[in-house]
Amino acid sequence: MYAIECKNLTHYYGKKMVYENLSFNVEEGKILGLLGKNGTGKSTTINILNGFLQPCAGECLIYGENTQLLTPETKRRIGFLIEGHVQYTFMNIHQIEKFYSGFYEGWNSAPYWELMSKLKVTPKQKISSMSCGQRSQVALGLILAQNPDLLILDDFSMGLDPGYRRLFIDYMREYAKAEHKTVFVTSHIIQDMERLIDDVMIMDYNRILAQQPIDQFMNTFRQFNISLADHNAVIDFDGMAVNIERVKDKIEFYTYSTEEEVKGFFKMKGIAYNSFEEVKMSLEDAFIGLTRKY
Amino acid sequence: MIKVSRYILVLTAVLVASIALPAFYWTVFEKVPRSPQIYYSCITQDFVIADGSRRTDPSGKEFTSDEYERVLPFLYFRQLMADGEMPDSINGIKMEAPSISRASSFYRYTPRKLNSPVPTLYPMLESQSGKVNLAMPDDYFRIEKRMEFIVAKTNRINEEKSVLFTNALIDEDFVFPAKIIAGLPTTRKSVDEGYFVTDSEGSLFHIKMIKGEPYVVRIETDEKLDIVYIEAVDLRSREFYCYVFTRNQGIFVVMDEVYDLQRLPVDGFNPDIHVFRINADLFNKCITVLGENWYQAIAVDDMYNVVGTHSEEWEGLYERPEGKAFASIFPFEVRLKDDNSAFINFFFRPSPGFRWLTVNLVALIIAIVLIRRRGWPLMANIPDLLIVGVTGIYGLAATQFFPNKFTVRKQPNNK
Amino acid sequence: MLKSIIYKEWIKIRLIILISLGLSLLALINIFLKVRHDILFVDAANYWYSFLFRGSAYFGILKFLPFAIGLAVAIAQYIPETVNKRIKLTFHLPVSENGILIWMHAFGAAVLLILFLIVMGLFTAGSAIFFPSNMINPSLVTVTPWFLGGMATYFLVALILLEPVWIFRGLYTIVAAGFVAIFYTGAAIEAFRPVLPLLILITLLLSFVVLFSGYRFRKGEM
Repeated sequence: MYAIECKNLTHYYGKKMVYENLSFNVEEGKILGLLGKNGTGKSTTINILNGFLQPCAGECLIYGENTQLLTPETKRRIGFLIEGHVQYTFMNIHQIEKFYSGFYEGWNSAPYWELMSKLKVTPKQKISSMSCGQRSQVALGLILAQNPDLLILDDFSMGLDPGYRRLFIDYMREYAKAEHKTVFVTSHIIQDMERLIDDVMIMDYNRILAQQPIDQFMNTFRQFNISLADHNAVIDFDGMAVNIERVKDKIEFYTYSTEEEVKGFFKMKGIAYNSFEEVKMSLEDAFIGLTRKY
Repeated sequence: MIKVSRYILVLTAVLVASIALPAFYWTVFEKVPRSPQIYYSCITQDFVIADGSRRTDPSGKEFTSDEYERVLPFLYFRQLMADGEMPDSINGIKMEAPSISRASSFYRYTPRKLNSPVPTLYPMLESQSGKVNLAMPDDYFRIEKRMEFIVAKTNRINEEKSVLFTNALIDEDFVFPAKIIAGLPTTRKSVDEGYFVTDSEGSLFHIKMIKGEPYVVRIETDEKLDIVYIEAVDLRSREFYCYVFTRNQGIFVVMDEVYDLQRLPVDGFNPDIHVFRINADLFNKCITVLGENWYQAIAVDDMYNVVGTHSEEWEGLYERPEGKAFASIFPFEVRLKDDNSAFINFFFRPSPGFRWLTVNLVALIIAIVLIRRRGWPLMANIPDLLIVGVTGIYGLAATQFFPNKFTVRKQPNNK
Repeated sequence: MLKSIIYKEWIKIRLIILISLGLSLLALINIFLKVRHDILFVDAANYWYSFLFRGSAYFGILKFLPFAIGLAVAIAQYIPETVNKRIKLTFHLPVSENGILIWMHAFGAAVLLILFLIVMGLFTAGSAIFFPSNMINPSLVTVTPWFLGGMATYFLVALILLEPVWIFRGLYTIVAAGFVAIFYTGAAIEAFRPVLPLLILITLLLSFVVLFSGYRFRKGEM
């Protein structure tokens, strides 16, 4: 059963293509991370998911409903964290809780107040005068109190210092798994993401580079650092390498192939090397390896 | 609801554009309209036309400045006296300053006077106080369900006086409320003659106050008059009390004392669009009726017999280049103010002819091209095209200001 | 749910509404103290005369007050929704998108209308101390377009603020300025009488055009 199904999404801004025929699904109970550099269409996807953008073609369904025409009942099941933890900052934490509680029958303020009690804010302090980190906790607390089945978190890490980011991630993971929530999260900061997500989807300009369980991705995507014997050697690794970063005779070789396969390939091509080692990658390393540095 | 709100916005923009664009056009291109002054000369027994700096007789012969003054001796009487050029007698009548000035009067009616907000409270002056100077009363009257006097200082009704005047009106079969109340609510006049009032049935009354008592006269007319406007005048000659304008029955004056209605020899006068002028002197009255691009002058003697007529017509606004250009660009215009009204309204003025069709057609083509270029379906934009077709450049601007993006965009075909 | 909507809108506009009410009361107090003063000095009959026959209105300072209030309330209510596109939060609430916008807007308009009716009511009551209905009626006909203009300003500024694309905000502003200027055209006392029904009708029609901007926002115009 899918919480989100997007089929053949195509979108242009004017004549500039964002993507064509993009399709993906998010299984219920899974945490999916949508990663990508700035400008690769993360926000576009989020906006389509939330019904703030009509794609040129294709459609997204959330719990079987087109996101352009979500019913209040379905919207009630979706928690939405806007990029930058945007909230009604002209309210204080009591006012905003009172405001939101009126819209959700299953409103459960306990987790909200638990988070709030950890913030050093005065009861009458407006959210606008809080720090970025404090604001993220307010936004998170409200979503937790709403108790939605699907959480859409747009670039939750933006502006957070490492402590808050770690706190957010750990809290979210524990909560989602305990309550069997589906989470769709985007980020352009990859650090710590592997602590959170089950599945990863990596976007590049106009296309999806990878979409699979995070463990599978981390286990099959490899980096080899190779020092060539002849730094003038011309190498053509089509089909084998996903990306090659080369500085003279030093090569960073990114591939889904195993060490044996790569070495066999070198042998077949008759390219000699001085050293050959597999490098252990973090998700961030893998992300950069896949999407290139520039 | 959303589509409806867009059409509301588009039509609002059309309205704003049809007010603002023509207003801008006229500020740039409008020329001063002709407004000749017509006099009747007792010397030449003919009309004299002063149009800007040109002074001519009806045949077009131009007068010099001196000639002009000499043919209009009553108008330039002081100048002629100073120059020693004033004749001792004209037409056998001895020329004397008091009689000349007593007989001279000038009056002008414009449609704006009719189409104006009017007060419903007036001061009733004492007509025969025995004092030399007239005095303002401390109360104001209204004629609604009855005639009531309200004391300004207390903002309360003077019951006694109200009953007194109401009864006097009832005695003359006045049917409340009043429709028109016309007088000269000022102390700067030679005598007070109170007010000329029409009741709800349109009958004409004269109401004034003499030594604190009401004086009411029902003015009988030969036929039932559809009176739309009355203006009281303070003539030194005391020839008549007031001008009475009717919808279709012409213009009258109410003669002093006897209350006879004298019809002026003017036909086809439309009080909503025509200007009326009267220039009286010792011998004649020169009446001018002005339309937008014509006038008709009628001279009468002191018995209101017609002694001469003259008329002229010139190019109307839409026949002049700036008007023609306007009518070729704009299908219509809306004005908030109109020369013939003091009210604010949406005065709709369609451009005469169909020259604007070309511009509307071009606007329509541009609209279609824009729709096609954006890949919008033409069918869904039929109402827009209709608006552009009818309102021309106003509609073209309005539909672009509030774009119609309710239809799914097609993908751009440049891949 | 409705209570929550009203609660948030009230938090946004309450300060502006209180300030507006205060300013309006000050303006009214000023008007009637001045009338009282002038009547003492120039005599009531003369004062009436200059109103009736010279067209001098005693309430001129009211003219642009409703415009300023309409503008301020629209800004107070909609700027907080447009900063960081917070209106997304509103549209995400489990209510129909048009529905919630209409409720927000209706609440703002209702508060504004009530405020204006209070001011016009007090103005009428104050006038009735000094003047008969024959002077109050023309006065009300004269001030009504000003208050109507305040409502139109509110409706159109809301439309402008919620519009997501800057260039269109500019275009809407041109139309709004041209339309609102109609209400403040300089004219004699009572001159708006014939056009008033039409102005009321158009203003009523404009009351919900904010939906257009809301729609454009939701369809992702940028």
